[in-house]
Amino acid sequence: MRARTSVLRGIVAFEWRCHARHLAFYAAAAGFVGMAVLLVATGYGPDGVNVNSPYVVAQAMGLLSLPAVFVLTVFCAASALRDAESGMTEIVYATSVSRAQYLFGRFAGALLAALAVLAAAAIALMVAPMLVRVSPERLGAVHPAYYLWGLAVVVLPNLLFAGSLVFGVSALTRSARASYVAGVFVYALYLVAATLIDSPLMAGSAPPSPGSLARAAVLDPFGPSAFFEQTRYWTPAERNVRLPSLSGHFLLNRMLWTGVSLAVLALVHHLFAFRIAARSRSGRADTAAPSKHVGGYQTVAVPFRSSPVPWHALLSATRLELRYVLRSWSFAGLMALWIFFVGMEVVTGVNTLEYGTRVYPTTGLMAAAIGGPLGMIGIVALAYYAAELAWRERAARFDDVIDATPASSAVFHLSKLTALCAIPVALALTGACVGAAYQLSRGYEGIEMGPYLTLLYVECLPLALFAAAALLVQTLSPNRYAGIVFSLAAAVVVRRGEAFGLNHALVRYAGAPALPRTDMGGWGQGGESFAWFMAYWTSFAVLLGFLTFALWRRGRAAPLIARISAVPRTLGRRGALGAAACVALFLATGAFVFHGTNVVNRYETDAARMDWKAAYEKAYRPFAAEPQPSIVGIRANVDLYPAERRYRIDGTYRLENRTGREVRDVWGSLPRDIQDARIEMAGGPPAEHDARFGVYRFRLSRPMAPGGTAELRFRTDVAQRGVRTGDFDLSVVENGSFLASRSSFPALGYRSSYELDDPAQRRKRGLAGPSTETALAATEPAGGADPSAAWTSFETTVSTSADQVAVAPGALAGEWRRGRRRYFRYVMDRPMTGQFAYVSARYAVKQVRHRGVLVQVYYHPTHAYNVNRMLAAATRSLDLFGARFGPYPHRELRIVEVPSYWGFGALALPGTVYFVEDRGFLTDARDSADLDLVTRRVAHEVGHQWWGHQVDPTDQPGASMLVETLAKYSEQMVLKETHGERALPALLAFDLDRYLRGRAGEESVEAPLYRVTGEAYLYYGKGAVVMSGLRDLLGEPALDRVLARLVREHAGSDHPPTSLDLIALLHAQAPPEQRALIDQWLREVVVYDLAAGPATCRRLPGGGFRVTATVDAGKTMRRGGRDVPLPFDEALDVAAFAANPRGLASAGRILYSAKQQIRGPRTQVSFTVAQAPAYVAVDPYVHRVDRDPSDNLRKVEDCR
Amino acid sequence: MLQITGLSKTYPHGVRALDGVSLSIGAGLFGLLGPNGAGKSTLMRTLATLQEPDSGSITLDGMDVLRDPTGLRRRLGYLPQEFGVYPGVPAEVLLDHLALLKGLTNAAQRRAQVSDLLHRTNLHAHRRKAVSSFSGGMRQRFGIAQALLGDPRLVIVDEPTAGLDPEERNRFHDLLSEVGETVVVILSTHIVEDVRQLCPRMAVLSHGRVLCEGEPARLLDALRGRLWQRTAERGEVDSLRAAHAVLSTQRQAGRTLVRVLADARPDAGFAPAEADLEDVYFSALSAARAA
Repeated sequence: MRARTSVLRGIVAFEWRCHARHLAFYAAAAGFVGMAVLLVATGYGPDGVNVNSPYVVAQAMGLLSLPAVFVLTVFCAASALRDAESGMTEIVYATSVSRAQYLFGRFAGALLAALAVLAAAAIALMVAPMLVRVSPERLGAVHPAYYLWGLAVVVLPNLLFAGSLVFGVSALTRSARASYVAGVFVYALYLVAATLIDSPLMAGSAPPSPGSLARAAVLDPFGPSAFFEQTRYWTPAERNVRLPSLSGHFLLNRMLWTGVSLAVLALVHHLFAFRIAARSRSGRADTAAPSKHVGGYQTVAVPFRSSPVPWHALLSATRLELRYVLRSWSFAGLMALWIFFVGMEVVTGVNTLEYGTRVYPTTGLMAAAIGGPLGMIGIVALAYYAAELAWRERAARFDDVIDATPASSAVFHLSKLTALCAIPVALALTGACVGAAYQLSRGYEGIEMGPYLTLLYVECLPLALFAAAALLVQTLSPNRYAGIVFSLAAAVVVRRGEAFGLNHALVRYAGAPALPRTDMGGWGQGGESFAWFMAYWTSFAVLLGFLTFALWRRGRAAPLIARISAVPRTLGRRGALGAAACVALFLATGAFVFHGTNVVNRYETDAARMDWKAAYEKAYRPFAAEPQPSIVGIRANVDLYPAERRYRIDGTYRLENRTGREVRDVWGSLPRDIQDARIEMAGGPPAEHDARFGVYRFRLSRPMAPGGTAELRFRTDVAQRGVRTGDFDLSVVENGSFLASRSSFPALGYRSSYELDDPAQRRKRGLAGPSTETALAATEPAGGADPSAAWTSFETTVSTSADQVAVAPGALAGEWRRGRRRYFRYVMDRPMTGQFAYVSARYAVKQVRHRGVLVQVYYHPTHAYNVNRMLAAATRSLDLFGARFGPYPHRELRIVEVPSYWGFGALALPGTVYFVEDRGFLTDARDSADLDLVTRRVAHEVGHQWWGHQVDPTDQPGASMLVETLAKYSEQMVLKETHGERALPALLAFDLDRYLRGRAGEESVEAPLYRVTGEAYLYYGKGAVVMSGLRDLLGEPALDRVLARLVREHAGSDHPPTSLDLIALLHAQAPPEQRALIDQWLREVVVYDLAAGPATCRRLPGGGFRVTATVDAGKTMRRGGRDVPLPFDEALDVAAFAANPRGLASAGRILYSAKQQIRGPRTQVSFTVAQAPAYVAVDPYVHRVDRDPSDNLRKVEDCR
Repeated sequence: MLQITGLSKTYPHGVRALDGVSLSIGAGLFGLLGPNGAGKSTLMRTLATLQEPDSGSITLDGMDVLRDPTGLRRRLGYLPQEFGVYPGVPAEVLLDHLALLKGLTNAAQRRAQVSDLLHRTNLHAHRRKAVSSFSGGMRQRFGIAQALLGDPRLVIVDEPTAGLDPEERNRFHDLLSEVGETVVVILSTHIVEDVRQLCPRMAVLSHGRVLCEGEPARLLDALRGRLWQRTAERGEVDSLRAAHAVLSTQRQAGRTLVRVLADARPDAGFAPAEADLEDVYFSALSAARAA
């Protein structure tokens, strides 16, 4: 044994010396030291976190361990191949070294060398902050332990993982090229896998559920997801000092992938034949039996040009190429990987939405889930197989025979191209099978072929174009590996075109607008534009095909220059004609597309748009303070032409000067893309039109006196024409039109929504930072009316095509048909806020009349799943809010489905709530253990009929607290009424998570709730928990009285409230001792840290159990940028459970639950329960903003 | 009738592979002899339209091969010096595929010829096995089978018998002779024996030039009476080389047999010798060296 280990040690030492003598080792070390210094010099890491904090160090080391794959590849390839390359194979294999010693010695040597390179980088990370300029506030104390930790926990397992794969390939294939390709593939596949399993982290669109985070944390082979999962709530102060702990998912991750690495090594050991690879062949036996067949050699005349296209040869060649691709091991591996990815994406990715709920797996959703990864994996696969196929004859040394046949090069080119195109098709169809299987497993019956088949067009066609280009690249490239690199590089440039200045899809090969597709709207306008771009790029790809054909290697290929100069000859007359036709088609379609994108429509880069915004602000901000009249009456005739994607508006605003000053100029504006518009003041002067910004200025000859009125008439005619690169106007589409007033009706005054938000972009364009220090004051009822508090009457006639229903705010006052059109007249019976929308689609309608209110749901006929639940939630909400807050102002409440490409979850406008398809109508509410998202969302939006459309605060800090936070409270109220008190903790846990994640990512200073502006994590996340706390503190009746008073005093008034008005009402209702707490929650940034400490239990002689639990409690308040501890003395809920309550949603029986006064950092509480308790919890109902809610539950130590 | 005129080819690294080669080859087997590196394979590949010469012209039955390579390929059967195949494809399928590439679109005729050639090359029993799994001899037979597909007017076989056992070689020769009755067959080899057995006409190529060309018998006539041989001790060989035009030396039972070309008997130790094709070959090479 001792001898064996010493042999192993000897091999490792020898390997180490071999690596250390190599230039590559020093080059790699220098490169990584350089990268490390660069990371420090560029201030890698989040703002406010030290460059040498444990957080940034661990992250930087994780980042560096990704490119280390390449270093490992070089070392592993060198290790595995050294003997073979130096011709030492036989000598080494004949020694007494065992297979394991040989293999693992080599591997350990390579691993050691790579680790040494990373260690050098770690030292550089540690030393660099002292050598390069780092802003001093981001510099902490130096702790070598952080770097050692990073090397051991982050780097070493990663190197082991990547190394085992690359080394395995090197050892088994003994090919340097295969090793390098394996290295590149490990890297590429990691990137692909990361975007797929990390989708919550990378996309950042929907808040990731803890489940998906946990999945990513465990499955991410390089571990960053696990790292982020653990540290996501950490504030900058914590990130500066806390070392991530090797526990939980992080530990699981490291163990899992180390285990996988060891398994790979074991497999390699098993497969590795410790002998010189014999060229084993089967079927060598040659029967020497003389041929019984004799007779003269018969020639068969070759028909001269039997047909212009050699179909037979093409078919035969295609069959052989397809057979080669589809039967290869690599393809089987690709398929396995693909099914795994798609399965993961389909099962856990796309249909898991907010609050851990799921949506019905509609075919459209499945197709979208397949389409995303298909694009990425398809490109990698095509780059590889293009090389395999293009060089196939040469690799097999069959080229001389093949090239000497009279077959046209087109036969070879087209057969290979067809085989390549079959790959994405196979992927798409396999993906569709996985998707359909999943749909069946979920018991979903609406499986359709259409959306799956459209994958062949939307995803596979661009991939086929890429395949054509990749074949050309391989034809030009000196060898297949260079070809792979070139084609992958080209793919990156094209796909990430924006980063390389290729913005317009006309200059990005195979580029086309992304297609928003929904069940309701189909392809919207995008389909046509996409088709034009495809025609344009396909004609280019066919041109590339002619070139590839003309440049095809035939025989001993001449130098590239000679082949290029021979193109006119090899192309031939027919080829030249075809190529010319392609050029003509390419130019013609290109001209047409360009005319559409840049002449008919506006084409604008992001930078140009920001310039435009800045110019608007500079031009019109100075006039923002001018008094403007208010809109007090709206009359409009709106004609929708869904099939033509066109609409006409003919309307009148009644204006009233509600300011105390004279109005001299009236500023009207329309979205700038609406060019065909007429706006005029009745009896006034013609407008001065600034077409660039869509601004119309009316210089009144006679100023409007305070209280004076006027009329503004407008007519627009808007049609979608021509091809676009994106940014489709989806207002009016074939089915599912949604025309919002904001984007189609004139507005008055300055449009602050045009202003740039990003401070850096503002600075760059010479604009001052957005002012945050707006003065905030409670309303003074004695003061003048707020002109922005515009309550308006509304009546409209809307027409649409005969097969559709059009909906607008107000009661339906009439409905008729004229010609082939359908007309609806809606009249709003009382003034409303000035936002509204028109919808039109082939709706199904379900309605109930509930206590004088007509409640209607307009839905896409196949989306009927949750309609009844919506009606129930809506009527219950009306009852509850009506009783608690004040009467519902309208005679109808509509819930209307709109296509899911609209960027909102749901939108509440007066009397109407708009739901996008997949955030309510398609929610799968069959599992009663899931949170009732449909009811929650309906209640929230109905709540806005009070909060937003009755109480309509001015646009000041804190406004969202009155609108959104109170709607969050409203939803809690309805959920509690529907499912009982126990439904709330699960909901609040999500809201608390949203807050904690939001504040961890806050780039500037976290605002207190009463000054919240755009921070959704505050007005939704923190707001929900604070309202839950207020309800607990004041009691529900008292809180509802406060809110009812807010409605009573401010609904529909000219004196919109601010957050201070609500605080004042709360103060008035609360006993004095609670006011400090209310202020801490609303006016300050106070965060709790509660934890359940050790709990013991004792059986009482007379039956029952005495539980003694410890409660750790603390809270801090943000003061001058620091968290200051506050004394603790509050009554908190303490509860005991018979089993793990899991968020209280499932049946964990509550044995005890009561308020306990908690004083100071550690409090002992004791109580008696009848049954043996399993768990105790502090604040189980989520009434406090607790920075780590996961430690609030504690197992009770053995109860005897 | 294949007419080659003034064919020259210089590779980018300066090697002059063909240097004004002119040959005129009619139906029948034509042997092309030459040492390794003589330019044989370059000439073969040029004839097979797999690479282009720098200058010169080639015509087959009056058709300009360089201008219309596809026209030649339609009448060409080519067996390259060494070749592989698509892995895993059965012999019959592969042969059928190659027949299609050669333009045999008539299915019945194609199948008949494929079957005939498989029989003829004694591969019929193996037709469902992958060619990539064949032994060297079997693969070479597959090579000749594919070269004979269609209706070739020009068959080029480049070093075909290397690696074949004697029996296989004989069968191969029979097949070539049969084909050569109607077609131009060019057999490139460095094995004199092959040419002697098969070729009514031959040429010797060295350093890209044709050293001599003609019927083997005529070429032998030119040497008649001028060939002498003797055995020599090991130490003597060098002095003999210095003194005489030594064509070849050959080990024979521990001593060396030296053959010399001279118009008269060089010295008494030499006896007259019967010329064979190998002497033609060596005399041509030594004449080239002397020139």
